[in-house]
Amino acid sequence: MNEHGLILQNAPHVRTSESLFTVMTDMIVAMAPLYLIAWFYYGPRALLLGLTGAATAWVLDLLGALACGRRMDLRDLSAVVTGLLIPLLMPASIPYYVVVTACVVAILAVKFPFGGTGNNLFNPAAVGFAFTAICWPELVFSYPAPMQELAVAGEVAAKTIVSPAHSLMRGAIPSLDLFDMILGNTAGPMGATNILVILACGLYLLVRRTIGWRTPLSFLLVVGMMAMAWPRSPFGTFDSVGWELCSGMLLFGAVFMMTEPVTSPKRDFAKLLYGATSGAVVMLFRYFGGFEDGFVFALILMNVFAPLFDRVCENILHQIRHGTLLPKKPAPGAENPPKERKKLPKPGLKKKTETEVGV
Amino acid sequence: MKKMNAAAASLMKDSFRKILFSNPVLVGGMVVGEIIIGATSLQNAVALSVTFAIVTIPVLLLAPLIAYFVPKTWRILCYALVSMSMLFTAQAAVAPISPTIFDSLGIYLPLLALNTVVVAYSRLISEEKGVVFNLLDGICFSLGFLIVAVLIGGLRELFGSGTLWGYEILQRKASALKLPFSGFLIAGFLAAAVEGLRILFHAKPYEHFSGGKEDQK
Amino acid sequence: MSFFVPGIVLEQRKEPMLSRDMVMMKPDSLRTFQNPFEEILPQELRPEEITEIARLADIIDESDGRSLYEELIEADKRGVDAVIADAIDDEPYISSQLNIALHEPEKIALALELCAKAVHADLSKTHVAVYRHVLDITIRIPKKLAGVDVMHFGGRYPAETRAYDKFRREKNTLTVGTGALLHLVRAAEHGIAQTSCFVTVAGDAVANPRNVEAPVGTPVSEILKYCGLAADPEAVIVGGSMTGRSISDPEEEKVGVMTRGVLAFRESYKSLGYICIGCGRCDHACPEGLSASQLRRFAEFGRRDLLELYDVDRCIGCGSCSYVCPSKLDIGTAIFAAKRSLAAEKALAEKGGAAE
Repeated sequence: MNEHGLILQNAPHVRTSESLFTVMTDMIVAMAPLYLIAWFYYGPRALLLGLTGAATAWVLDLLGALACGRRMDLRDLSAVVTGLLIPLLMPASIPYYVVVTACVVAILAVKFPFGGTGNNLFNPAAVGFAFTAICWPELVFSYPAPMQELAVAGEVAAKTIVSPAHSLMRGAIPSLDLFDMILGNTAGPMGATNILVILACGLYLLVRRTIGWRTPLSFLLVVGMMAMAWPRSPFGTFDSVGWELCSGMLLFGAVFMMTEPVTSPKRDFAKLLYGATSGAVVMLFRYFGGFEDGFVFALILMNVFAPLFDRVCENILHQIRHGTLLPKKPAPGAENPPKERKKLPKPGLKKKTETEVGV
Repeated sequence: MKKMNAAAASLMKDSFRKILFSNPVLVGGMVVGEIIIGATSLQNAVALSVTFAIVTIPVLLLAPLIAYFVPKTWRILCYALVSMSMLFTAQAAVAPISPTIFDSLGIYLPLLALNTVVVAYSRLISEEKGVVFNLLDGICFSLGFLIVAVLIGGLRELFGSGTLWGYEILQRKASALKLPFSGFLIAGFLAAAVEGLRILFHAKPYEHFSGGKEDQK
Repeated sequence: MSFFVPGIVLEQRKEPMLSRDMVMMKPDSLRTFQNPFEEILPQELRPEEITEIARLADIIDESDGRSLYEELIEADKRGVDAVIADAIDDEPYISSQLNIALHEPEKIALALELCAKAVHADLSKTHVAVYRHVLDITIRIPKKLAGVDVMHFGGRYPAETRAYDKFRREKNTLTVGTGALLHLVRAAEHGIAQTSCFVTVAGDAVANPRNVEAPVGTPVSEILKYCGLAADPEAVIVGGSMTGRSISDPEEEKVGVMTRGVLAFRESYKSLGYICIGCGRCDHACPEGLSASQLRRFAEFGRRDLLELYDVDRCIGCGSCSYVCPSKLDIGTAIFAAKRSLAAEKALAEKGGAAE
């Protein structure tokens, strides 16, 4: 600030009222109904698991910022969002240390070493969950029956039932009807069973423009088509589509995890491609994978390829802009101009140019 | 006499650096694969370090001799021959650690015979230096390797299998730590820690590892 | 139609400035010039006389900064079909051109008649071009302003650039800003030369936001004092809200003919800085379809090869990317600066090559 008390800012001087804070609070608000429903089905343990996850993630983010020598931005709630996402992927009877381990891995191994917010290579919640799924598959995939109040602390002795995803993996028909599954009255990850609420939260996020519609739509379309073409259970095709879409953490992942801005492509067309390819990969994991729901692993794999889709899209756009998509017919009598094909250059020497930013 | 003492002192300082601040694995980036994937337990770590020492030090000692007689194109083959022939000795030395040591290490033990120090470092650096320098090089590299391997292997065994040198210690374990990706993550954090220590002690890295960071504090 | 054209929808925020009459800051600072045609009624002036009046009154067209006299001569030479009054104000808060069109329509209609006569254009084809996008329902613009058809531009920001592209493509039009038109009428009727400019004073720190006619060269602080400050502003901007310049010394800065507005805000967005989270909203908002997030990164690291591959020279500097960024980053500034420095380097290299 100078002596007139004025701050110099760059154009444009009107900005959208959206900010990182509003984007993150939108996500938290969208996850709140899921926690409430989980509370309804499984008792207050669900809420405590969520709180543990959020608190661990936030503390670790603070430590990470200190280790990097930065002051932590208190409005940056992305770690809290990760901490809240992780318990929703797990059964409500999970011990607390599993959630803590997942959060530790998510923040300390995925977010912090690569640069913090905005620089994670993979979805942190996905990697945290994947780590615990490899370590303790018997804990992470054994779901309690709904509508029982679980003990808040200590070991939980809950009646576990087979989840629909597990039945599908074995090639059997799930023992519930679709209506129960939509309402969430089944065994499954804490936040991923109630399809209706997830759809409502997804709609809220779409309207608030926190997530885009392209990735989830193409993802679900491809999953539906593959479920229709190759049903896992020996029953009708439309039922198969319903079961595939409603079992496991597929819909939850499509709304909350696939749309994570840092790891998904930025271009519209690239988002469609990304969603479609992820759908195919997830279904392949379901058909041939070892776990009953390999969604997280498929997501981590696709996160690696996300920038590739962006590059492809950019190349296509570049060629359209410069008119090299279709070869130009040379005018009669004129020289044949060389086709302007720009290959992706190898990363050369970095030259610093003077830019006028940084007022 | 004084000149020799000064040279000896700088040599000792150089070598000391190679153990920690110019650690061959964490700073030099050499021999990374075998350590990270192979060191899943303390026994594995010790076996790998012993093998590394037995296989590499003779190569480093013989490097100037071989460089004198053999033309450039064939030198690496000769180094590999030397290290491979030492492999038998190494395997004999490692066998008493545990009966299942060769099963748990799999291919990473013999793979050490072709590690980066044997193949690249000896060709680029050891040929031109004297025997004393190479001996100290070998010893310090081995010590550095041992430290890193023991840290990574120990951590992974303790938290990944709940044991330490085969003795049960912890009840709960996270078995995903034994997978290679955890090894890479742990190695990354250790490298960051070493870099932090280096900055703390204002030490300069060994010039062949510094990558232009000599002027940085 | 405009759904498929990229860009951003901006809240116009033109009230209450648009409804209030334009107020003259210093009425006695108007100066007259020796008008040889003062006896003749404006409607009966001949084309050469009109251009002569434009020259004597020193009128400058505020939409492009050229002298009106030169514009009329050049338009006459190339032959135009229609004269269009530029009342397009597509940036939020700014309404200096639109205000004149809405509050003094007869004068604008007369001015258009004079211009059409001066360039021998078809009087029936004159228009007033305005901008109002479909979601902005508080602004009322009639279909005809004093008998002149209103040409409506809709769609997203940046609309003025698009409108000008359209006019340039249809080469037989002449666009004149409404401010210059008002000055032309005053010159023809009362022999008053142009000594003032039209500025919108707005922002949440201003007590009485309105459109003001201020003498050219008035310090910004005086204009702000004239309208009154409700609070101490954190940022004062001269120019448009999307393309303007943030100033540090309001007493030193003076307004000119090309100044569209003076804005004073209580809070600067700079105090809200975050980091890029790769949400891609900027890519979506770019009207040229560029990958703004990537370009910003390349500009930061000086990757000239990638900047060229991603077509940085197509950036028009509209600032839509910065507008939508939730992290309030200065994306547009970085990209446009990179574009300019790259162009400068290329020009220098070519000059160096030509010299050899």
